[in-house]
Amino acid sequence: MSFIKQLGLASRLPATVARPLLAPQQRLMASYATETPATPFTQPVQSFLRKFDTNEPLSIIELERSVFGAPIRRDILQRVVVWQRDNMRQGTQSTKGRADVRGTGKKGAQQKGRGKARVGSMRAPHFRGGGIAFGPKPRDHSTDLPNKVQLMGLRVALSAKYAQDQLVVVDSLQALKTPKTKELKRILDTAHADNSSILIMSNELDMKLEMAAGNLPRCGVLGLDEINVLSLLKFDKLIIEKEALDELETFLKN
Amino acid sequence: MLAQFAKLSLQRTTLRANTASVQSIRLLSGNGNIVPPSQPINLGHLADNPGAVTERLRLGRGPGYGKGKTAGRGHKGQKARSGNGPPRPWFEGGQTPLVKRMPKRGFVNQHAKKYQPVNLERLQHWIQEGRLDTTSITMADLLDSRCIHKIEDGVKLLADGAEEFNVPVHIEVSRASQKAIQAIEKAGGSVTCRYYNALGLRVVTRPEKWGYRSLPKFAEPVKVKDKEWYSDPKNRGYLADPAAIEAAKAEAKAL
Repeated sequence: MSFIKQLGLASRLPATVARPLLAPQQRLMASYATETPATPFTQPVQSFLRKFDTNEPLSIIELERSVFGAPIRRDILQRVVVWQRDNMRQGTQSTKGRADVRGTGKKGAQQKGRGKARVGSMRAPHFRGGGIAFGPKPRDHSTDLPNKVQLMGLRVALSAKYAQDQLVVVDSLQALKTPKTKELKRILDTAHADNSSILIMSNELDMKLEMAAGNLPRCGVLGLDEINVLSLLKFDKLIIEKEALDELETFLKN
Repeated sequence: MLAQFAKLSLQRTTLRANTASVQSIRLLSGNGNIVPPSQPINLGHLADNPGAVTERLRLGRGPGYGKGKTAGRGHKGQKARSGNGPPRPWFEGGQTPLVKRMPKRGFVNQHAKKYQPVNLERLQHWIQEGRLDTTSITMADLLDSRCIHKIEDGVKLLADGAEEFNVPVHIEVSRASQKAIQAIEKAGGSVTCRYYNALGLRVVTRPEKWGYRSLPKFAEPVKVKDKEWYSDPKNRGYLADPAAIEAAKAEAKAL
């Protein structure tokens, strides 16, 4: 309540002293920004829009800063990757304990009088041919990760791609006319001659692309609904269609 | 078109003395504060923050670890044996324990009501800070403004700070002490004491839980003692005769 009174006072001060009435946050941002004006809205980041077959820049486009310019959080990436890989585990390793190993449950030797250690089951863990103590059994290794952390992981991974110049936005993937592996290989060798591994993302199911990329080890294809942090980090470069990028931004921006 | 990009690359070289061709427009965008990380971000360079995970304690795994051999149990005795330990927390080795040497006394009234106290001093402080509206204060307002932190069976108005109380308020609570009633009326306000059961309190504090449905009716007091209390004009009960309440107010003013 007290700062309202201060704002009211400002309008009565002489013009040399009075400043425009800004909200406290705007006043704070104005003191830090030197070139760009203080606005309550974040500035977009810029990227080239390129041709798919030659990687030649066509124009400059603007991207959401909250999706592609987010602060880099390595710990979030680590958590998401570990969670993804845990969920991928088959979990079928199995061992036989002393109850599972074939053999009788009879007492192996008399309790007393032998002058040797007492013996119960001959399949106990300390015996040759015995069972494994606390060995692995088939189980589910999957864990839960909060939804918000999963989404943040995607934003951080995309921002990491942008910050490391690994994001390539293409106008369309129509340059691939046939489902031939030879043609896709030719396109990738001309456009990205540095032998980097490429992840191609589009929002429509394209059989030509899937078939052409199927046997290429350096190239992976994902639909937008399959986007995940592990794939983004596994491949060096991300090639994404402009349409898919717009959809991704609406989904991820906050 | 290529000319404008040549110009951009020229800009970049003058800013950063880097002869590499422009691979991205990243450095020129926004405030130029998106820089590539010093360590690359790929699957080979991921780690959680230091201190995020701690090693678990593994007892009996060698002297270097600090918890080898006796594994933190000392030597022999009942506590060192597996599956053993003190039988019960108050056990004194067989001697009659303190909890048994003391006599039992009394009983606990299961039907007792726990009213949250609100003193006049606190009420006045909240009003002067602007956290409460003086025109009408209900128990829901007291809870939302954090004057009280929970309502168990209701709110009782008490008179700590009655001498300095000078704000006219119109307040509705479960109970009020006589001194509190006098102080509030002296300041020009009014007190109403209303009976609420658990459902009634829920309706008052969380009406949004009923959504589109109509709110339930408030119940009347069930016990005879409660009916008598809320019918007494001295207590400013809501069941009392309004004329009797006016008479009681006038009587208090005259004193």
